[in-house]
Amino acid sequence: MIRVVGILIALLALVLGWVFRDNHYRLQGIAMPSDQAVLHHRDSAYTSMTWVGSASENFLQLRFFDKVEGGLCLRPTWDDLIQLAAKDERLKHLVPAPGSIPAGAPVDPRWRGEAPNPGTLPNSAYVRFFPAGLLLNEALMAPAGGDLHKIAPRILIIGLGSSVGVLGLAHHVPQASITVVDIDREVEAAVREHVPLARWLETQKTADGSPRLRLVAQDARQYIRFEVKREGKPYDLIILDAYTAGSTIPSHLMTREFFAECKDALTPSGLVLGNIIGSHTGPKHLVVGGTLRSLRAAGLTSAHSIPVFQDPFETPAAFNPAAARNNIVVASRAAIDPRGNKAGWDRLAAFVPFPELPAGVAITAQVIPQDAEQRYAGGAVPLTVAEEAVPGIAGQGRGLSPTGPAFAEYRLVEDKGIVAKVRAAAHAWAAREGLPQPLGWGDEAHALLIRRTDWLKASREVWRVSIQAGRDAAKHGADALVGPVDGSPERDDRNPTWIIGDAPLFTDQMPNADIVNL
Amino acid sequence: MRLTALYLTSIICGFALMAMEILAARLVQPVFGSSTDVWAAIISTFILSLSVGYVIGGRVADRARTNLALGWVILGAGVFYALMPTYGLRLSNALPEAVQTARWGALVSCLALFLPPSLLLGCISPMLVKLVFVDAAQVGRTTGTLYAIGSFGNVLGILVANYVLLPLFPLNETLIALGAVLVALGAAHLVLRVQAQSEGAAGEAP
Repeated sequence: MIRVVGILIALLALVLGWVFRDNHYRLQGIAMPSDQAVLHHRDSAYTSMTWVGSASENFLQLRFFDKVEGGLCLRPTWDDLIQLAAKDERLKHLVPAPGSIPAGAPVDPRWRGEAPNPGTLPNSAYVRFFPAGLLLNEALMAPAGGDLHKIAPRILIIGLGSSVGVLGLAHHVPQASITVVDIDREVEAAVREHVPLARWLETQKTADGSPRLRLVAQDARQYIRFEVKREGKPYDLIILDAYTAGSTIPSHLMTREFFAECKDALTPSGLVLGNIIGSHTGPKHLVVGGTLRSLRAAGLTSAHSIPVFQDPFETPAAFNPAAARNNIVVASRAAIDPRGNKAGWDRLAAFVPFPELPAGVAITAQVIPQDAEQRYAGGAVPLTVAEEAVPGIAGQGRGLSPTGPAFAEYRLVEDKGIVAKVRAAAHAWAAREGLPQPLGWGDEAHALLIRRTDWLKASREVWRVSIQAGRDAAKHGADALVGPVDGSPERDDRNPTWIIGDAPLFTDQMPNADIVNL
Repeated sequence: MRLTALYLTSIICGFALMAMEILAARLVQPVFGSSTDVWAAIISTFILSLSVGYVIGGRVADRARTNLALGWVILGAGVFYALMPTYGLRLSNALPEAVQTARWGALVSCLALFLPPSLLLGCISPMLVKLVFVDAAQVGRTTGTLYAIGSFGNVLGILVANYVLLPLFPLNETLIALGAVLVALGAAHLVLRVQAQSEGAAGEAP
């Protein structure tokens, strides 16, 4: 009898395990749009990936487990770019021949509306800096008069993600031949299925017959060691953007020996450009500093770092060196730092990302509930929903003034009556749209934050502020680990841990980038 | 027939144990990454649980006359496998941030998640030795064969998990399928009787 009970309990455990199994993604989140939907979910040997879209927030994001890897703006769509190209010669390279427009992938029923067909505008911040690796290349840019349309660079990107960085490069550099190496072929399959523009680029050729986009599924170290030699042609730019699903950089792609192999795969004036997450003080400074030190030790002697300012409330003047952030690390045998390459940094300062796009092409307006301590308390609801309930709400409350890159406007509404009306409207909207009850829109919603984000402005402003900060940092000497930047209250504090020479050297013998990055 | 059944038990349990070790990396990766810290935590957890499992399993085996206890142990391991999809990631996510970001954080998570099921599977080996044991004169040969077969199951578990299960099937489904296999195996041992044939045999050994 007890044996039968035991077996039944075990069978029950199997059923319970199946019914209550944990997904690797959660759709509702604080300050996340309430209308997020899954377009596609798949597991691979390396990660669990989910395409998540939001019509109101205007993004198509690829998430690894629960973490946002990166994303594209859903609008302007590729079709929008094609229409703009009718009036603007400089977008012609994004127009497919008639009849060759690939259809969007079939999407999960949880996503309502058409299959996404995003254009090239990024929703992530750091990927916008990939063109910097070309603009700093004096030997490449000077003969072309500084025009990205007049160069035909070979670019190797390590780590594909959502492909947003690839699309941005393809937008700005029509004749670029881009090879992406990613260890996970499932990520590449997911991009092919859900980003029609990327799939189309794979079929296109540059003027000299090279593919505009090539996706390779291989370990990057193996690719650089074996395949690049076989190809026999050096690259103008190698972009390091490989992260594991646990947000650490694979340690064999962060060593002096690997960087030396990159150097051998580059033209004499070519650059390595890396996306390195870390701070400038504390344990995480070791990753940024260690990368710079290891790049120099590998013979890429001119190495510099640009901190990415993507928070509209963070100014270079109030630069927090202890905060972890994306840093764009650039290195080359040729002089590329602000002291040695003034022309290159002038080009960076003059560059306007996505110059062909008209103002206001991608604006998101939302309302987010705030708790009593004025923190985000729940999911975002489109501003249009609040405006139907309270006409003119967009101009009410008090404005909060962002002090950093100017791409977002914030207003705080504390009027209890308005909060109650919008709360009711948010629930009605969710019910009407068939969405789950929006997170944090109960009694905990004390006030409302109205947030308007301009994604085109974000591309340009984050670029402008970050490039300026990177340039200012060089004033502190060649061995200063980027910062303190100009105007920072700590600029005279010569903390010795900010010196690149004090950071660890990552070698194949001690490749500890993944450990110091924890 | 009897030996075949016991060897099959050994190979299945060995398979499930090492498959879990490979899957464990995927299970803790979202929180702890995939550095060598994570591998150190996983491997030490599994070896530790084997070590403890051998001790406990040996004591239980000496008292057992049949495969009844063996059935319960395998069934218990199957329950842990089956429920792993519900508590695995949630438990790691629920740890305080200080633990999640510490280099020893993965060790805490791995001990909590994988010690119980792998300890149960560690108990299996001495219990099987007791059951396959027939004759003191052949104790080396029988235990040697049993260990060889169990280790072969280990190797299969590692390779199949890495090359087949992880790339082709979602993690949760794989865990529950392994759980189902263990539950079925445990139930079979509870229902079908195998007698230990070594009463007093150890005492007669020269």
